[in-house]
Parts: sequence; structure tokens; C-alpha cells
Amino acid sequence: MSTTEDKTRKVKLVTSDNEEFEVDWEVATRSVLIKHMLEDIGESEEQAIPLPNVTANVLKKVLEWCEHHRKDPEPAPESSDDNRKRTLEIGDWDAKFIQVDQEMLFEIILAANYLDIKALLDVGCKTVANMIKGKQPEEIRKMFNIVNDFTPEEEAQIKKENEWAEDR
Amino acid sequence: MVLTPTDAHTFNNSAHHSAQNAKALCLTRLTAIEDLTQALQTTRTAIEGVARALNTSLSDVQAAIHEIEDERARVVRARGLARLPDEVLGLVFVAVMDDCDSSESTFALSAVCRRFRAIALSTSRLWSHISSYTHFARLTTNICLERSQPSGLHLNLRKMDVKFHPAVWQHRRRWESISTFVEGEESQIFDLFPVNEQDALPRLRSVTLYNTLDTLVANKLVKSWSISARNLRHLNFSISSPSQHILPASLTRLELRLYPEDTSLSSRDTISLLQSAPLLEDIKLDLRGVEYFTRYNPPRCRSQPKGRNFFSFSRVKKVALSFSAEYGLIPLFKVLHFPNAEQFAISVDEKDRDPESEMDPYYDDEYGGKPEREIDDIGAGLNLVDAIFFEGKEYPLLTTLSLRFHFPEEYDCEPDFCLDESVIEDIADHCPSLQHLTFECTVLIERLNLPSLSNLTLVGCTLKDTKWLVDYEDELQENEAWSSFGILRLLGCKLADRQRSTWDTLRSFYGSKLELF
Repeated sequence: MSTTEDKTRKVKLVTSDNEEFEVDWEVATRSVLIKHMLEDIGESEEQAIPLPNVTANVLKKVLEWCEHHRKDPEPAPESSDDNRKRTLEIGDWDAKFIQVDQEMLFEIILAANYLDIKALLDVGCKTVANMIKGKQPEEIRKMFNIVNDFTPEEEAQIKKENEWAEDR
Repeated sequence: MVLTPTDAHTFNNSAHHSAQNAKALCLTRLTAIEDLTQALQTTRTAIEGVARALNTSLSDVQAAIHEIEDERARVVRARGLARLPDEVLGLVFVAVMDDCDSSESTFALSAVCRRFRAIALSTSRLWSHISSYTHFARLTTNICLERSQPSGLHLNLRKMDVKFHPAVWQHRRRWESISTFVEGEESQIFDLFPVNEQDALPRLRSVTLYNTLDTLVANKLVKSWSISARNLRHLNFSISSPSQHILPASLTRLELRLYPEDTSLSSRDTISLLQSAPLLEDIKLDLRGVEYFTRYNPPRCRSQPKGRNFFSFSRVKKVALSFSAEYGLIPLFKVLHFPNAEQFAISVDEKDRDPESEMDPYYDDEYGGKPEREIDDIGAGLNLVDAIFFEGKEYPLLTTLSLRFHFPEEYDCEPDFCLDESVIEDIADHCPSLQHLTFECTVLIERLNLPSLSNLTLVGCTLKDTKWLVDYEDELQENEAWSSFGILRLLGCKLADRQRSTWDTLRSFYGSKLELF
């Protein structure tokens, strides 16, 4: 639970290319990794949090997302009781946010995974999933420059498994 | 030769020497011009040829650039994909599978390359959706059953297909969710849900039944689940009457549609039904088919002040109610209370009207014209919302409210009628923690008085102008609440008076805190 003091606190983050960012506690703690690091170092405001796996241009983008979602309620832990249908729909703001070149898209996904920002990771994974959705294996290979590295035996097994698709 | 007077004075007289010279000069020049024209024509043809060749080259270069860009994008994607850890790529696969609610996509993914296949085969959840709807399902059920182990199974069954059923039945201890539509004899449903087998479905968490069940069948099912599926948490079903109905005691989430045969239902039975599941935390009631609830008051406690007697469901954190603007629903809403609700969604639709029965065909107005239809759904809608939030009720933990008033006919009849500006403010008086408000309304909005919120979303609203939103920003600044305000979202909203204000006005006040779609 965050206190009023926490909300006014500033946090310093240092990227792999040594750039320093000063952000609100509420923004920084969208990242579970940063939140835990802050808990570890306690009240020390001066101590900067090193983020050796994130460059400045990626962190800037991630912080833009965190700033926009700073007031979002804490995500509920995934429960097996929750059988609500999940879709690939992305909120309007997030859809606009993630319209970046594909190099940056993968950087954001990697950063969200490293920083443990589940909702942002979800947006990134859905964006890649949207590229894959509805495509046949050959189309997916072409899209991602993937070599078909199956052995002839594996190929035969896969063909057998996918007989249903040939009837369509 | 004899010269005629006319010939003598005519410039181009053939006999005239100067004329002859001039003519010869003209002919020479004409020939030169013609030669030049021809040369130009040849040059033009040559240039056109070069231009065509250049255009072809340009197209080739453009195609090559396009190809290089595509190749570059593929390389970027390939490099990106290669850098993603397997567990993240697994999440991408799960997102693809979740979207289509079928394991069909998993087969395609597992046929791409060895890495994809290894990830797919090690993510049992990807194979856990089994459906009896398609030809695909029949051919792949056994593979899915095998590869989905030990994950729970999610079944989507159109009917109790006897050929499909036995294979899935073997794995019944892994059933986690079932959505089904029972066709033909209802007794078939008991082929799926064993009546007396203790803990036969130990992982079953969720059941969705698309049919409307009669009381006997529904109660028999509930009884069977109390023996075979004691961990059932979510039930989504429809009934025609709550009378004598019970719910599984283990339920935490209920989605219930009531389709009464005579449009009137007993409040007492409805409350008893909800009380039969004491662990409920999430309730979604669709009452759009109900016109009337009978009056039923809880027994008065001496300690409670008059008029503050409710049936309280204190475990419930999330409530969603959909209903039509029928005054007859007030008796139920008056006595229902969810004191610890954190999220509330209310959707009020206009009444179902039969235009022929509503208008007297023999009646003419004093001018002999057609009578005007009187519609007052907003009045009824507001009274119903009052019954939910007022009457002495408090919602101290409510942070998220979604309110939808959908009365398009009323708007058509009276497009200038404005919504009461205190609607939200009055509700918020009973919800001191309110932070996130989503409001969808077909009635014209001139102004809304709002508390200090974190997020405000207006959906499909027609606003008279934007002044009140500018004032709201001003109030937030004055109350020092601006820094904690997150976002104003306007989704599909219209301005009634575009000359008086534009959305751009808002942008200058809200800046990046405005989302306009």
C-alpha cells in the first residue's frame, strides 16, 4: 500500500547508457522490479536505481507508458477462477503508443519483461500476437525470416497432425 | 504577257520579282522548320523512350527499395523474435490462442520451426481448448487431450455429441471450464455432469449454460455439482424464475439472466437465490426481461434506523446490473445492498415498446394530427439508480463506477432535453472513494457536476458544449486535485453546438490528459 509520502517521492533511474531519469515514485513503481528495489534500499532518495538491461531511448518510452497508467488500479493476480474471455484487443491509447517501429516494439517487450510491468508486456505480446494471428506456418516463416528446420520425420509427423487443415 | 491592273498592284503577283523571292524564302524557311519539327519529333520520341526506360528503372528501384524494406523489417522481426525469451514467446502464443478460444492456432504455431514447436509442446495451456463445433475438433481432440496435460481443460460443446464425448469424459478430472448448449432432451446434460459421483470434476471452476433451464433441472444440476464439482466458482446461466432455485454454495462469481414468462418476479425468491451462494464476490444480473418485482422488505432490526433495512451482500466486490427503465423494478433495488462493492456497472435500457398497443388508433390530438408519444425512460432510469444508491445506502469502498443510460427513442423525441446535472454528484455523495467513472448516455448533457476523479471516460455522449469540462479542469486545479487526475477520455462523443465550442478548446486545458476518439 502506498503512502502519501511515497506519492510525492522522486526516484532516480540510471540506464545502461548512463542516462539518469528522475520520475515520480508512483510512475516508477508501475515496475514491480523497481518497486522491490526501492523497498530494498529503503528511504534513501539519493540512491539511483541501475537498470543495466534498458537503454535511455527505450526507458523513455516505457516511462511514457507508466506515466499514462500511473493511476491504473493494481493488476489483480491471475486466477484460475477467472474464465473471462481474453481477446487481442488493445485499448485506444495503448494501440497508439505501441505504433512504433518494430525494433522498438521488441525492445519495449524485453524491457517490460525485465522491469516486470505485466500490463505493458501484455500490450507488446498482443501486438506480436496480432501479427501472427490467422497465419499459416509458411506465412509466419516468411514474416519472421524463419527457416523450416524440421527433419523429414518431424515434417511427416506435423503433416499428419495437420491433416484437418487440408480438408478445409 | 499582258498585265492586268490587278496583277500589277498585287503583292503576290506571280510575275512580281520580289514576290517570287519572298515566296522562295518562305519555302526555304518552311522546309527548314519542317526539318526542325521532324528532328524535334525524333528527339521527342527518343526522350520519351528514355523517360519510359527511366520510369521502368524507377519502378524497379522502387520495387527493390520496397523489397529491401520488407527484408529489413523481416530481419528486425527475426532479430526481435530471436531475442525474446521462450517464456515471453509462450505468452505471445497464449495471446493468439486466447483470442480465438481454440487450440487451432497452436497447431499452426507448432508447425513453424523447431523452436516454436518446442515452446508450443512445453506450454500445455496452449492445447487446453477443446471444442465440439468443428471438423478440426473431432480430428484433433486426442492430440489436444494428450498435450494439454496437466493443464485444466476448457470445453466448448454445442451438444452432447456421443462420439465426441467419451474421449473427453476420460479426462473429466481436468475439466476446468465448460460452455455448452443443450439441444434436445435436457436429460443429456446429466451425461455431462455426473449426478452422484463424489469429486468427479475436482477442477471444474466455471460453467456457462446457454439454455434457459427450468427449476427442476437447474436445481438437480446444482445438487450434482455440490457432490461432483465442489470447487465450482463461476456460473453463467439463464432461468425463467428464481422461485425455489438454489445456487452452488461454492460460487464466487455469478452471471444470471432472468427471462420470466409473465414479466413479473418475486423479490423474495430473487434474494433467496443470491443468498444461497454466500461466497459471491462478483454478481452480474441481466434483468432486461423483467418488468416488475414484488415488494419484499427484510425484517426490521431494532438497532437500525427506519428505512435502512436492506439485504446486504457484504462479500460482493463487483456488481453489474442491466435492466430496462421499468419503475416496477424499484422494490428489488430498494432492498439490495452491496456495502463493500469496489466496482459497480449499471446499464439502463429503454423499455421494450409495442408502438401499436401504446397508441390509441382512435385518438387524434386537438388539431386532428397524430398524438405525440410520451416517453419517460430517463425518469424511470434515474429513479432506479436512486433506489440502488440512495435510501440510506453507503458504498465506502466503491472506486469504479460505470453508468450507461441508453434511451435513443427519448432523445429522438426530445433532442433538447438535458440530463440533470447533479446525477453523478448525488451518487458520488454515497461513494466517497470514487475515482474512475465511465459514463455513457444518449440524453443531451449540458453540464455534469463531478467530484474530483482520477479518470473520467465519456462514451457516445452528446455534449451541448465543452464549457463544463473546462470548468471541471479549473475545479480540479483549484482543489489541488489536478496532479492526481489521470485522463479524460471522450470516445465517440458529439458536440451539439459546434459553433460555440470545439474539442480543440479542451486540448488547450487538458493537454496530454485528454484522449479523443
